[in-house]
Amino acid sequence: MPVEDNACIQAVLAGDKEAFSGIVERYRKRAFLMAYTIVRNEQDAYDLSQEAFIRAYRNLKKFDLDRPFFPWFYRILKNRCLSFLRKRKQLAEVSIEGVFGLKSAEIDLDRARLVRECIAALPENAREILNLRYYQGYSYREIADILEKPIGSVMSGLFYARKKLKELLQEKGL
Amino acid sequence: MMNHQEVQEKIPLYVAGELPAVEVAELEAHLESCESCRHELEEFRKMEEMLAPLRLPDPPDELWDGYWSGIYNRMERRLGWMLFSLGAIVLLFFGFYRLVEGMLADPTVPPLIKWGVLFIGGGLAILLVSVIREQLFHRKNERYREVRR
Repeated sequence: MPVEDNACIQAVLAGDKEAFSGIVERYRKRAFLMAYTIVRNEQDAYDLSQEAFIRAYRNLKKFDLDRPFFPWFYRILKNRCLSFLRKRKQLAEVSIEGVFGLKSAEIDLDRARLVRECIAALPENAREILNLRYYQGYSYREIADILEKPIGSVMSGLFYARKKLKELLQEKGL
Repeated sequence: MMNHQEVQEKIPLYVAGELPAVEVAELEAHLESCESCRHELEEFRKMEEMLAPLRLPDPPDELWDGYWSGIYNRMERRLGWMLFSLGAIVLLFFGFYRLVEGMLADPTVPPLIKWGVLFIGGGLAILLVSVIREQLFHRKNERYREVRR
């Protein structure tokens, strides 16, 4: 775990609530984007990422200081987002063109939409790896760290995800 | 020596420059002599091109205005809400108890009204216990509580 995370967490555990801002500042962007790739709505992703930080704060006593913070937090966030979707019984596709004012001219929207539809049709495990890699741009090593899996396992998952994705893309004529 | 499956699983690491040098040499040697893995490499590059535009842009800085204060305020308010709710529940129950007690002791209140109030009180108590039990059960059996992938 980065020294700064450890220092922040220990300060929070010692009673300094404000020290948690260090953790929030470091991981808020990642948290927001991760929530966004799951719930596919900016406002919900904003709220859910905040809620996940609050849950992490409340459960900090259970956190093992010898382990990295972010994978632990990621499970809280993912858990929260999946529960949210289950309650809403809704699974929309990721919309890129509407996100953060990205100009539609920058990408081939039809093609991107078809690719997103194919990714959305993949099983959860496969989709998660592709989301982390292609929507959020993590390296394979970072993905393995976040998912707390050996890199070989991530690469096997990616291999099968790509195979399945290729089939789906071919069905769509891409 | 790497087999086809191993090579094809490592192609993404190779393309991303994340493969250790010693494995790069082994993988390149395999690619040199294996047409199907070279084809897989080409296919992978094509798919990378197709997926590259999916990358989400960074959120604007304004998004973070008030982000931390929103979290901090909710962290602080939790205890306040808990105390407030607990106090309100205690007062409501006490008020209802006094109301029922007074009504039952009052001979001018018709028995039908007394039974009606008792049923309402009993119903509310059952509903409250049921909601609490459902919440506890739901929490315990939360499908994604221990999601770990």
